[in-house]
Amino acid sequence: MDSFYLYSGSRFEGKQGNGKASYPVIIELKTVDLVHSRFTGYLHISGLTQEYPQLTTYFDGEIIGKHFSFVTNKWDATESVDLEYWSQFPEFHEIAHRWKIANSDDFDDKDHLFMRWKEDFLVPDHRVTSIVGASFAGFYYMKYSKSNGMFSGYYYHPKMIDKLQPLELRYVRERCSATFEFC
Amino acid sequence: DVQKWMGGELAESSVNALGSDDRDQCLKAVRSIKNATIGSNSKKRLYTNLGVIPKLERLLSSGDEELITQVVATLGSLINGTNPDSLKQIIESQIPIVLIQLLNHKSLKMVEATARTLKIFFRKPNAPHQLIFEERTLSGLVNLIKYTPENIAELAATILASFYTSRSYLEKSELLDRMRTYQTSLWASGAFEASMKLLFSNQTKVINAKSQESALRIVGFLSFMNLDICKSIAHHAKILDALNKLIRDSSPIIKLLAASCIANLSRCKIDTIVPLSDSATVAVVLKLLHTSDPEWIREEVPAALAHILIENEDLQRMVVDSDAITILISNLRDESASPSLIQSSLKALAAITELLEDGRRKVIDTGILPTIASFLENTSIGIRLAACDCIRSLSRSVKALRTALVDLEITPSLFKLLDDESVDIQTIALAALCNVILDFSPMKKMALENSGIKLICYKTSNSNVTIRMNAVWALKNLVFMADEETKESVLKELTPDGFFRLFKDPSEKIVILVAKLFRNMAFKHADWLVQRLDVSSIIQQLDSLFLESSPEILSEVLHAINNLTTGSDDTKTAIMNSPLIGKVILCASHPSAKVKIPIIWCI
Repeated sequence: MDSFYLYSGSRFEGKQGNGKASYPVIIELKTVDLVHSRFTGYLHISGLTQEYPQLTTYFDGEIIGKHFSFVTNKWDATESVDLEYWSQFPEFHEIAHRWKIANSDDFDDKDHLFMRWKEDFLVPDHRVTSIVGASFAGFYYMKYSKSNGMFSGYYYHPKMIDKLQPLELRYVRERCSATFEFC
Repeated sequence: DVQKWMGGELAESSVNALGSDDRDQCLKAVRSIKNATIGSNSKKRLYTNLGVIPKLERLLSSGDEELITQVVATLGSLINGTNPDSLKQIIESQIPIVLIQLLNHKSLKMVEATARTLKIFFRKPNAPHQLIFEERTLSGLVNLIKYTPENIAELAATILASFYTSRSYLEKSELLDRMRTYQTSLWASGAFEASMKLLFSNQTKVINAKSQESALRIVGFLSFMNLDICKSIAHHAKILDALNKLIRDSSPIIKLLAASCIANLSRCKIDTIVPLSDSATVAVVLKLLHTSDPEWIREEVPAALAHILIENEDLQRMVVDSDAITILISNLRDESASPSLIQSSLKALAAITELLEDGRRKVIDTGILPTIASFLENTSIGIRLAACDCIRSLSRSVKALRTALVDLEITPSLFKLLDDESVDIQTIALAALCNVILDFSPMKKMALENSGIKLICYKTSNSNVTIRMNAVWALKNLVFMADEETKESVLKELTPDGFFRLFKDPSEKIVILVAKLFRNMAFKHADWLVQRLDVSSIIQQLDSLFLESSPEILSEVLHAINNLTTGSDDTKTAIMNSPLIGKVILCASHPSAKVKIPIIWCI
């Protein structure tokens, strides 16, 4: 039942940021592949810039465990950054002493999963590479709660002054379901 | 030019002499034509234009052994060139059939000459290879392998194996039926035992190498994705030992063919110790990717790799992490690359990118996509098919659909391929379209214009089961999270009756897809669907599916019912008051998790 809320088409809404600088966010999952610890989705954020009052990006999700380590080793994130951000989650402390060698067994009987989300390009036009006033060059350190479908986490960008920008989302309840598979 | 004119005159008189009643004159003429044409493409063309082939054909029924032997050799010479006309005329005549009959002749000299010519003939991709698979031909060839001297045995084995080497069609699980028929005939003819004889006999070195190659091709063909045959083969411990030895042979082609055989046996997971682990086998083949001696092996290695990787994620991972992609891409960019090399490399890339996102991204990042797209319009069926399969593998990715593939503007080309002369290509193009028309694909809109929906709906009643399946799959994906307008377009083309008819397809795989299609149609548009299809027809249809249906179908039916209950109160009431609800409750105690999970949604 890990994946009850994680499926193609599931939506989560919430906000990114704090106080006055806080923006509504909705994510829609596109593909969910728990076997390979990956998923993809769109992230919509409102009001971030004047040019793009509605901004949608495509993102890749990596679930920490069998295929992805807590150690990011890319996207300009050093191990000390990793520790700093993962430590924001109380649940991380159980595993902190062996964080570099954690694998999927460590999460099987827990209520949470850890993830990284990396935005890759803009939707609909992937050719737009930069936006004034906004950047998707960083990535998110996230935690997901299996029992209630809540996400919480922090955006990291090496050049950002406003560190540890929080993101919180909860599952949008849906009564019906649809299905697709790649052929 | 006097010499040329004299040559022309001489040629004409030789050809005329073929019809002479004087047997010696006739024989002299045949010899002269044979000698003139060997090694000269222009002479082959000249004599063909003078009508030599029908005249030679007539002489094949003369009953005169010496004469016939010379005629056969001459035909071999005419085939063995670059003149497409000579080959075409021979293919369209009775000559191939007559030659095959001559393989049964009592004179070994005649048999050898015939086998030599047939070997050259069947090396040509356009040759009618299905002739080899007639029962009498198969048993005739197998007898030659078993009972004649090594030089003839080798020729027979090569003819038998030529089907394998000249195929230009893709073998994937859904296209295997045709191949199974051939495998069954070949096995029944005793070809495996004959191949074993070739692998273990003491022959002269040169013949040995060629015989081994043919024997391995035959075993490779027999064992490809055929569990029954693999089980039988695995009982012969000798063959496993032989393969273990041959994969270490110094000849690259023997190594490659032995690796293919081992991979085929390993795939069937029989309880016998297969000589080499899968990864060791792949390592051998990856190394061979770097070999270009002999030059033609470059064409064979990628295709062999593609076969080994089918549906095997771990091996695909291994290959993605190697330098294989780089080599294959450079093959595609090589201006002097032969059509076989292009086709083979495309096949390998399609296999490598089938299951892993990392592989797809690595390939896309090389910028090779426009080149692959250009091969969709190639004149060769094999190349078009392999290119289409590449696109299909790559389209199994949201990112690829939204970026590299949309830049390619691939949709019109794929739709065009739906009407390709090759049914195999139609099938794969339709599969690629299944992905291209997904909700998150920017190409969806283009697909829907230009009667795209009409074309796909039309394919749902195709006689070919795989095309029908892919068409229903495409519709299912098309209406996934789609708006009412899109769903209405589909229903308008299918018509309500047509839609319900889909549920009656004899293939269970298709019925599951139809149920999914129905579920997606009902998603968020329950009222619309109920109004269009009439609620009692819907209830009746879903009710009938509860009888003896597999967990897969039940699961979709439950989801569909759940989706229907999210409509207006009227819709909800109609469903809740129908026999369906009783059936849903019964499903709560179904043993399969697939069935239980949708129940949670219902609650």
